[in-house]
Amino acid sequence: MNTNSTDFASFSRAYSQHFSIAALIPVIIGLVSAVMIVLFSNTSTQGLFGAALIAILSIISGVWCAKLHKKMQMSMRAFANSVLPDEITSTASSQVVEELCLHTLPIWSRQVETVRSMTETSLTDLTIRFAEIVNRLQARNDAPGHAVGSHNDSTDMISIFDSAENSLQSVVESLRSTQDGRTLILDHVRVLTSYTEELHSMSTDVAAVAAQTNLLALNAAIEAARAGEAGRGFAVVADEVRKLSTLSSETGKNMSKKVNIINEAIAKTFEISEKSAMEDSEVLKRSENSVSDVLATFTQIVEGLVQSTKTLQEEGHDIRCEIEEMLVALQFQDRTSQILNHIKVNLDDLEQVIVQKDGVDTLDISDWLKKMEEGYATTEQRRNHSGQSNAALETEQEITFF
Amino acid sequence: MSKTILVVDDSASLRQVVSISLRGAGYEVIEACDGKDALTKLKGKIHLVISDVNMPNMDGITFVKELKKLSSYKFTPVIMLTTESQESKKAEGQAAGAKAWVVKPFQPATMLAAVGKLILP
Repeated sequence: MNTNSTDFASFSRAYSQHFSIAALIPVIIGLVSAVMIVLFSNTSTQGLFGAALIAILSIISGVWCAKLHKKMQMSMRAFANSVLPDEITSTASSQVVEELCLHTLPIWSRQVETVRSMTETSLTDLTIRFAEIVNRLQARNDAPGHAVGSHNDSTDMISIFDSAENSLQSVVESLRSTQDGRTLILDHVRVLTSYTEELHSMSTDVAAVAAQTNLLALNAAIEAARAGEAGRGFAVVADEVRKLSTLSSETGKNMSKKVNIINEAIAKTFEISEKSAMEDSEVLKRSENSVSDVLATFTQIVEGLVQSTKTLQEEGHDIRCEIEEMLVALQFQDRTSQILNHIKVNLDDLEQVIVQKDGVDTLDISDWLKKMEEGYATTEQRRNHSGQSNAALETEQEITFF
Repeated sequence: MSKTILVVDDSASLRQVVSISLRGAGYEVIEACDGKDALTKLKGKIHLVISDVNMPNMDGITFVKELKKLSSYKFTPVIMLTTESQESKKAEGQAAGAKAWVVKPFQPATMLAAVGKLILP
């Protein structure tokens, strides 16, 4: 269309120029005729009048021709506009397009720049926020006791728990050793019971000896009485011996009574102690069960906490990895920004060309396209330039060492 | 003492992505938004430079040429990180003194591998 427009403009200019010269021909002929008449005829009044008449007629015919030319030019333009609307090739149309470009190009340029800067601002903000999350997750994992895999917190908890378990077990052990001590005492008491039985037997023996002594004293008293005066002294002795045997008998009875009382007391103590020991044993058993239950519950809680902590740490790590991948994906902004910036520069350059006088006429299109291509920074731009699709374009992942 | 890397890119988001990866790997990072800005930030020991190619004010290739003129940074390895994958551009980078050419978008692991291979001891 630009080519057609240029062709028509040059044709129109050439046509106007030729036709103007053609329109002047009768005027020139008229003037030459008038001059010839003046030069080669007698300068009579009729001759001069005739020359003036011819000159006037020539000028009139020249003006008429010019008007006719203008009329024809207008009708040709109307014909071109009506018959060939798709091939508007007039200079006026070209000027309209230039005017339009002059107004629209800066607008497009500003729109492109707005899109580019909006995308850049938003994505930079987004990237910074994601980066902040990544840093915080990283800092949390790097903090003492939070390193992934070390589970220092959990280890601390387990060691505290172990220590508590040991303390509770030692309390149970103390209770058990107290019970063992009580059993030892009971054994001693049991031995003591056997001694009391011996004491009881001894007191019975004392009572028997006393009875025997009493009998002997009685016999001695009888024998003393039979001896008469000579046995008076012996009778006193026999009486004293009898008194002593009675006393011994009483002592033996008392001893037996006391031994019985002691025996009963020991038996009672033994019975109570045994009952108490049995109760203690039950308490100990219940304590052991309670401690064991409590410890089992705590173990469960601690294990749950350890698992939760581990899961949270793993989740944190996974989230950090995901965000890092997202940050990689956000790198597209750099590419889009470069592409949009290049378009903006091209639009600005085109505007400059149009602003320049005769800029469009002297524009070398192939040179322009070549310069455009040289400014590309991405494969997508080059593929778009040559009309290739970017759909199948794989993301380049390469590193070159020099 | 951790090693220092200068990251030069006009895209703030790209600088963030690169910085996160590098800081995550234990490096100190200095950021610059173009070649001109990068030249003003050359202070102390810099163990490696990562630079974009297409940047305003001063492009990456010019920046690397300027860097190589400075005696303190003459042997500082440079990795070009760019959307450019044309061989002619790579050749320009190589001629300027770059040691590696990484095409964007990049995987942090790829870049860290290149950094680990080239960084000064």
